[in-house]
Amino acid sequence: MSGFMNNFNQKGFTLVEVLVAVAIVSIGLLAVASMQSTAIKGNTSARDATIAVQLAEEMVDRIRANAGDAPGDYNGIDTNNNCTTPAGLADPVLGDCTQWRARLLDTTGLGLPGARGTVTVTDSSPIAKTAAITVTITWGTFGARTITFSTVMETWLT
Amino acid sequence: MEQGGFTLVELLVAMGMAAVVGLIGYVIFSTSNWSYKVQEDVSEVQQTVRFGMDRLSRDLRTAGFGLPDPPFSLTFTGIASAITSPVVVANSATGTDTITIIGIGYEAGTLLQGVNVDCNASATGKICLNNDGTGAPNSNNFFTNSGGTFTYVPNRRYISLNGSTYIELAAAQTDADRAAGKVALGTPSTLDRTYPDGTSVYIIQAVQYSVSTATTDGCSADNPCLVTTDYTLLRGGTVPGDGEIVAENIEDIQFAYGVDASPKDGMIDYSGGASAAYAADDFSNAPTDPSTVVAVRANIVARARTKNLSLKTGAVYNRQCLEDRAADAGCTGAAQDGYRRRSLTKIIKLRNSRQGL
Repeated sequence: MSGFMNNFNQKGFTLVEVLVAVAIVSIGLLAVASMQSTAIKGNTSARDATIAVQLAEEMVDRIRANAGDAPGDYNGIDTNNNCTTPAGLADPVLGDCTQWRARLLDTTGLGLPGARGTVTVTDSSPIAKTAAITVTITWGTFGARTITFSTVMETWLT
Repeated sequence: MEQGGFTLVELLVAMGMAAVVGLIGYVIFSTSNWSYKVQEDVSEVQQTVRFGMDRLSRDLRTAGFGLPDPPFSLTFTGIASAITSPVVVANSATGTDTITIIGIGYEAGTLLQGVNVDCNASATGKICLNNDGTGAPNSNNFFTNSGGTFTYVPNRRYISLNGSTYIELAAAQTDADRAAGKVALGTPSTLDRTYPDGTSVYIIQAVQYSVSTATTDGCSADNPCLVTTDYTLLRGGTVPGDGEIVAENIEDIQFAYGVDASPKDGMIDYSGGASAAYAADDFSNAPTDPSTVVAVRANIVARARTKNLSLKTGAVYNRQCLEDRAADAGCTGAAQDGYRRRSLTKIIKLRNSRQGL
């Protein structure tokens, strides 16, 4: 019968106890709230990454369309130098680089703020007649982000 | 027997604090609900735009495959002018663009050699086909079948053997030939050599990609969709104009074209030279000679199925200003309409454009 007896002996929480409990719960809720804002930021950043991949693919497609048997000509181009390095770029590399740069920076279209693109093309040895293309896009005014897009292309005339 | 409960003040304070906590909980719930809707919109839109681009770019890459050596001229019922290039451009500065892609679309069957002497093209001007693996001659794929009545479809008269030999079939075919699995050749009227048994016979297809709001296509003004119109009627239907939906909620397609006119070196022509400055963009929205197109820059804009009414004022959720439609009303800068959008841009090389070769 002790349970029955105890019913007459109950004490409620004190105000201090309730305060502490509420404070602890609030801290937990705050964490959940900040998770939300992180998720929203993640959304935006995923969108930017999608655009960056598109821009990188664009260069790869330009190389595929224009390089013919000399994709190595595209090695080392860097939109940050206004396509002046490596020195002596000529058609079609200079055209591709210049117009790619314009599209990277076109923030009213599909560009990204502060975007910079670089390309490396290396002989994809030991597989004969292939070239490995790596396109890197860096963007972001506060805290730079980078994506790297790599592919292997056939250079049918080497 | 003495019970220690809350005093009234304590209860009030506790309730006040509980209300604050509850409010925080509500705000969190409503935010996560909102962000769930956003995620749902975005993932659907991304899916749509990717799928549309996937289909379009796959067709574009094969444009021109199976076509004769240029210059050529193909005519399809339902297409106003003769087709002289692997892609046919229809540009609009105030609306969506359309593009017609010509290339191998469908295997009508395989060549049957030696089964029936009448089928050897060199002697008779007819080829014999099999398309169901039974060995029995069958050229039904060049005809539409309406309740057992077969009608020859002249828009299927351009064929390619194995993707290498181009032949135009005769403009009219007899049902007796069909029943025997034959089709009559037109130009050339005989095969140039003996092709092995089982050689693939492809029908050259003309497919148009456009954005439709027509209810006959299953779309509407509230649900614009990307449709393909197949002028060879390979997917059924009786008239060119029956669109097949590729993706729903596609609002805009815009194209720009990289041309290789001079010098013909297989590369996109650029305005710059050794000393001249390059234009920011040398892709043309309306190339003067579509047969010189070697690359296509395709843009697709997809939008969410429903409006998101909770979009904040001032947020820009408009159709992006793409290509030459930038000046058209309703793109970025205009009052937002509440639809969330995503666009994809891709440069696609036409592998079979045959420029510079």
